[in-house]
Amino acid sequence: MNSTYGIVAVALVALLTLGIGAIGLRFSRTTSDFYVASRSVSPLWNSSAIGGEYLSAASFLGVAGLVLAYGADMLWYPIGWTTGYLMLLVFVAAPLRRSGAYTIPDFAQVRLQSMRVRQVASVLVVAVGWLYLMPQFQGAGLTLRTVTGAPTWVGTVLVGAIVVINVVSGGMRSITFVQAFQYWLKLTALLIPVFFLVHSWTDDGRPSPVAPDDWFTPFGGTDGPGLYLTYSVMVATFLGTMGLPHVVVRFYTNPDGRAARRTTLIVLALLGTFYLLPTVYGVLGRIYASDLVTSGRSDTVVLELPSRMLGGTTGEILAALLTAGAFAAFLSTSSGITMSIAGVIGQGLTRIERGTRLPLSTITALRIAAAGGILVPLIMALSAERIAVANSVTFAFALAASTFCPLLVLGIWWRGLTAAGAIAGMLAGGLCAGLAPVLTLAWRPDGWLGVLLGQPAAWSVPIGFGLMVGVSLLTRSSVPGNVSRTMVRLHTPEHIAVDRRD
Amino acid sequence: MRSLIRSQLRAALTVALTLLLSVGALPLTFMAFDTVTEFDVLGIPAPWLILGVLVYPGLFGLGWVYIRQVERAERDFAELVQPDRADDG
Repeated sequence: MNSTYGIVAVALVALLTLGIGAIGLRFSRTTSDFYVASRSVSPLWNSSAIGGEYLSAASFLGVAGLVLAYGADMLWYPIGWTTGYLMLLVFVAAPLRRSGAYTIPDFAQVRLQSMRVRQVASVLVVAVGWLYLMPQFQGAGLTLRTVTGAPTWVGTVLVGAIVVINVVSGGMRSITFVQAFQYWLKLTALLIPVFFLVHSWTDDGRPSPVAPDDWFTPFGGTDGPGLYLTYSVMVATFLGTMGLPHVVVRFYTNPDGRAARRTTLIVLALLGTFYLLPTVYGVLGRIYASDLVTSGRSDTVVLELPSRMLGGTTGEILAALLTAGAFAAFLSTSSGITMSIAGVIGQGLTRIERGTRLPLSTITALRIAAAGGILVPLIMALSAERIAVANSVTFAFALAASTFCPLLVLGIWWRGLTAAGAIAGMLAGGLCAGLAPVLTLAWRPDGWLGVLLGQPAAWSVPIGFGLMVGVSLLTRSSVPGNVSRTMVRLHTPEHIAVDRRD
Repeated sequence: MRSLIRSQLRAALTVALTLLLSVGALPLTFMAFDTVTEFDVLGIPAPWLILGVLVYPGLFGLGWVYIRQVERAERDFAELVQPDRADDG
């Protein structure tokens, strides 16, 4: 593939991202600006931003790659990522906005009045964020290698650097603009080539994909673990979305709970529209690029199709457009997660600073945290063995679903939740869902054990919920005294005058 | 207050249950009934059409119905608490 167009595309996205970020910088002056855009973003802007932030490398490249390799069963991933927002809408959106919390640790503290819970939640935010960042960085390396032939680490380091510059310089305000722009860029980048590709496929006499039977039908091999895997993916994605740190922080930028709900509904529409497209790439890939499966590069199918099916300048330009979209995906998701990791680490730093009297302002702390927080996943991405992008993102979802989902759902709807219960549930759910990917990567067990560790959500989420409820019931006497008032605050529409003090 | 929370929770659980019985039941349906998986619409196998396209408007519709429901509950609650300014919900 001629690499000039691709390099131009990557450079343009990088410059635009930094450029819009710089414009936003002029608006962000206060700490509140820096964290959450002063809560003044309209539902359409906000939902575009959520869409932009949420559609990661896994959505842009990963889904098509999985469909190419494994067929019908893989359609569950995008469905799960969309349904996750529906679950977030019905269980979490408005009350979370009304809680007034910036982050999940904030929410935990407001609801349970416990520093210990806050600390556990903070550690988990960082863990989920790192698990989510790693595949983004790896995907960036893969994309740049496919397009330009550069070594894999170049793309990884490039994305890491741009994200740090962007977060450190502009904060959330500029990120909202950048993210909203990137949703539309990603949609366009995936949509326009589809017309050309489908046209070329029609000219070809509409050949059918050639594949074994189990590619076409769900659970082709009925005796395998297919059913367990599908349900486990469903549990992880349906319930994990509400616990992703970069998703939750976005709800604070809505003016009120009502707007938070509307934003979520628009997000459902935006995601549903976007997810129609990767399937087309996957199916066309099966027809024109099935060799990518055997060479283990199915994640690149989206980028490879234009040059294979169209060739010439058209193919190269479309490939460049897709590269731009892919880079938008890496940049937006990584910026969002880095921002929320930085928020949590930054809050921790300022707290330590109060003890040691280091001259450290909140914003400086946030900047240091952003730069520091990105190093670990960068190193993980450079050293760990590559697994399919969409699969490894699911580990982050499983971890969020096993820890933050119980915390949020029980915290919002059940008066009986106690600090001890929350900690027990998060630790147990976190250990189960956190160790599973480590064991899978390090030791690659076979058979059912491998299956259970590869998709832990179906058993780790019940453990998290069960312990949280069980231990809360055992420590019933320590239910926070202000629970009734907190509940009123979470559930009452903002325009009704009620006592909202902590 | 408790009744508002209860009605909101009921709306949320209704959506969750609907999901479980519709989307959640799809894998079992595909597994149990070969006729569904072999059914073609305009050359596209039914599972691909359902999973790749039809699910998404369904999810949006569920979300839309839910929002109407909970906003009505909030309006009723506002009328109950502050009858004089219930019109601004």
